[in-house]
Amino acid sequence: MIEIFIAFAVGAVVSGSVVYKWEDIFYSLQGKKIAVLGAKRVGKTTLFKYMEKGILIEQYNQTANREDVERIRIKLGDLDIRLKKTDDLPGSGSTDGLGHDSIDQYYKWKQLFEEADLVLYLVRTDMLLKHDSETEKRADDDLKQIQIWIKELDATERKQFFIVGNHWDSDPVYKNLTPDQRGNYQSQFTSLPIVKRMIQLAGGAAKVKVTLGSLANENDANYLIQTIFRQVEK
Amino acid sequence: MTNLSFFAQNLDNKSRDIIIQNGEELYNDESRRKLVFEISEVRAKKIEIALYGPSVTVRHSDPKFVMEVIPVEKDESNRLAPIVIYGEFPEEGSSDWVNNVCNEIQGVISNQIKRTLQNGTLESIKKWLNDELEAKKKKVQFQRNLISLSTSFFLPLAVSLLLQFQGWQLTLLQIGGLIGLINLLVMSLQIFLINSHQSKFNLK
Repeated sequence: MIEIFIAFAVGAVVSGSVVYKWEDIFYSLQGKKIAVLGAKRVGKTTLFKYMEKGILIEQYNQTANREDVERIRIKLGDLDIRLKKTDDLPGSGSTDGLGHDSIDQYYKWKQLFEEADLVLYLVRTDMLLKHDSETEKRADDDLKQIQIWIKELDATERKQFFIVGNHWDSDPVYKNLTPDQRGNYQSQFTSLPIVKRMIQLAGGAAKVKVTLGSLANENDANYLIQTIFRQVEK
Repeated sequence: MTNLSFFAQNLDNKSRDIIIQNGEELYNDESRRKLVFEISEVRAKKIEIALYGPSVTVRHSDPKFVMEVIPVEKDESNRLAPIVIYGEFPEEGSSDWVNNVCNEIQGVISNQIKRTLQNGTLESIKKWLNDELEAKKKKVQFQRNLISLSTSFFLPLAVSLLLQFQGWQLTLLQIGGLIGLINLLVMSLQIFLINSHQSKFNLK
């Protein structure tokens, strides 16, 4: 098993004004179950394969049926974080010729959503920033469904929800940014009306975290995973 | 009757997924969702049965099975586009059933889903289905033999214990008659109860 080495500084990671202790992150994540949901072609399988095997796949299939994700192991300093076995599920998002929305996968999504401690909802950053109406509708419909599940669950249940914007490398605007300009890029994304609505549907800004990144290469994938897990609450 | 279901994502990744059950495309949302959920609940470990070339994967939790075959056509993102086939082994399996399943797979994939199976795919499926049926037959045969042997051993033992408990003293002729009766009983059990299930798998 190839391990994913995430470049956490030993002892603490400083990001902005917040100090993250890796011991806290370890205890927050150890033994947890992760659900990765999203439309088709957003990168769910790529993310899982990277977390499971430590490799970015080049040639892959449509995920037509549930796939087992046996072991996710992430190395932080000297500690291995092992997440629970989970499922890679097919994406949502298809309509018939009459605009009829297909929600064939929602039963299975719901089951995984209920079991998961961490829920990552993947979206195409580039498409939302382009105001692509299909992508916006898909995200809106999925989050409406997720809102129903959140309400159905016990109010005391603690579930951490992330909106993960993938494919920022596909956005020509991003390509011209220097690293210190990325903060503005993220602000631009989170101020999009559709993103604000998604955050609201998933429980509000206090409960939902937004992370942007890319799975285009190993460095980007490590950065994205690091950014997600650094924000997991104890 | 093969009772097969098919699931395929569209190649444009936008149009509705294709779901076919018993040769008819499903349009009802509830039926679609139930079928998709049922397919995903076959939890057995995935095995590859690429016996004749292209990859075919199978999850088999008797009697249900889920296969994934990969046709030639790719989606708009140049990804392979597997088709999921869901079915159940019947109680009475035969080579006719295997042939019907393969014919239906070929027919639905080419005529309704409009994709092309790679050469060797159907041969792999056919071999796997035949092997599984054969394994089921052997399993049934083994269970039948086990029951036969158990009754042959435990029934005379039970009668002997009963005689001993009752304190009966039997003559040699009576013992011979009793053995004959026990044999008759054991053979009747085997013929009428155990072997009557043999025909289900065409055991010869």
